[in-house]
Amino acid sequence: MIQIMSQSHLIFKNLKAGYHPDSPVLSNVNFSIAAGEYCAVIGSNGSGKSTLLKLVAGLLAPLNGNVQHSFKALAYLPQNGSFNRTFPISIADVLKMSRYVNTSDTCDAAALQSALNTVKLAVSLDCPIQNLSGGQFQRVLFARLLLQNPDLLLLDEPFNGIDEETIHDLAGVLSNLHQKGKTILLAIHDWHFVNTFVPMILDVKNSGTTLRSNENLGKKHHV
Amino acid sequence: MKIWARNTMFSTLWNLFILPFAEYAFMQKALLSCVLLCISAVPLGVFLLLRGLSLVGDSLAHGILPGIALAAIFFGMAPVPLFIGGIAAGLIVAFISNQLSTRSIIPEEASFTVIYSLSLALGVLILFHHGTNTNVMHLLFGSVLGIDSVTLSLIAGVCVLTTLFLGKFRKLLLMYCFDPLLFQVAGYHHKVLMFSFFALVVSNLVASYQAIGTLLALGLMMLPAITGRILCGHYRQIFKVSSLLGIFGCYAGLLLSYHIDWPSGPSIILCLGVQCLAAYGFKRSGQKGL
Repeated sequence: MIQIMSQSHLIFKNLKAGYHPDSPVLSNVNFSIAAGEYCAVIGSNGSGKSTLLKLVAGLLAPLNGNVQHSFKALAYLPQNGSFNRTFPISIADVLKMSRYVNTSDTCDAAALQSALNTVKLAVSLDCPIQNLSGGQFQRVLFARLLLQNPDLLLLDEPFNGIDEETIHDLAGVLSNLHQKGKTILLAIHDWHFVNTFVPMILDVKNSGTTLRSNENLGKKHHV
Repeated sequence: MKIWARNTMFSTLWNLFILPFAEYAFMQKALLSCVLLCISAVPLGVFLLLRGLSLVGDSLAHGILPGIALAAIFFGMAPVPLFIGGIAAGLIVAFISNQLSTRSIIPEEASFTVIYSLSLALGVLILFHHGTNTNVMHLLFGSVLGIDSVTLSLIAGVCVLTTLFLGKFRKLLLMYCFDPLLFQVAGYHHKVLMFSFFALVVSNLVASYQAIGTLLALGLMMLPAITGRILCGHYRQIFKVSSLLGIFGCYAGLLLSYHIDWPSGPSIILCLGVQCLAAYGFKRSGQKGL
């Protein structure tokens, strides 16, 4: 169990959570993450990574215990398959949805185009999303995250089914956000990515959840 | 000779397409009520379609029958009690279905199916025991040609309410349809929004029943929306094209009903259905051509 620090911004206390009281996915979870951390949420399928992110996002209520955080704005990106890719809207429409999360007026065409440039997507703002590839669509979602201007980013396996070039570009976007002091929780299976980019690891297991530094960061071997 | 031929052709076209609406007040009221319903109900149909809730609309359309049937027994065919009865029944169906889906493992679509089957059976039984044949046919298939001023006012009221709601919340509804998680994370109360939305769906279905009947009311809401979705690639175009096609389909249905003496409700739905299939064929042939 990680000690709870006074300056922490995300705190899990005696947390029990799941979708049915008789079979909780997470039990007795205690840890804290300071603001500005970039943390990979690691664990096998069904270990509760997505559940943990949903709890922080406020999409799921704990069965017991509580989750506290002091972030003013958070952004949550669900797993890839959660979106209807045939939905009849354009890239601009998707990006403009950020205005409902971030009340500052950053949704003019120049801001939208700048966000697209940051995620290295050279497609017209008017392009329908149904014309985009999986990787391009993920870049659009990352551009929307940038426009939301969150303090805390919750990303649930955002690189599943995405090509290497896109992953590399979006990893750069996340690293930039981390350098700007944003807090990032990234649920992921890819140890190569974790050991290349992510300095902290939150290991989610049925036996307990542990937070540690990534000692293999920068090394080119798998854990 | 040319002038005579031109006048004859003009006269024929006038008699076919304009005369019924120029001469008869009941046709004008019928067309006006259909136009109002297309402006009001069709955009809601587009949202149901985009959110994948077409079947829920079907359930609500059938679910209003017991309320209308009970109101017909106690208050006769007066429009206001029928309207209130229908809305009450629709909201009860929506509430019970929501409770079933949130408190059990039954998915929302399945819970709506359970309740709508029950309410449809209940409605038919009530009508079977207490209603006359005229009542039953009127409630099930509507009578747009018999719409009175009170009913027209109710339809207009529903249209204004729906237009105001969509004017205010259209973008939020769209966000909820595309990305409900973003909607919730942003702190919006999706239950309040969706309850208001379904209350409007029920109100529009009840308003439509007078024209199309409870069994076909959903057709007026969904068929133009589906046609618009087939033809257009962006939601703004879908909203405009759907409502316009809905109005055109209603106009064509009313003409069929007038000239061939078919029942008006089924004629309108037939035209809207043919439009939908034609749009599908047009789109398919266009894709093959490419």
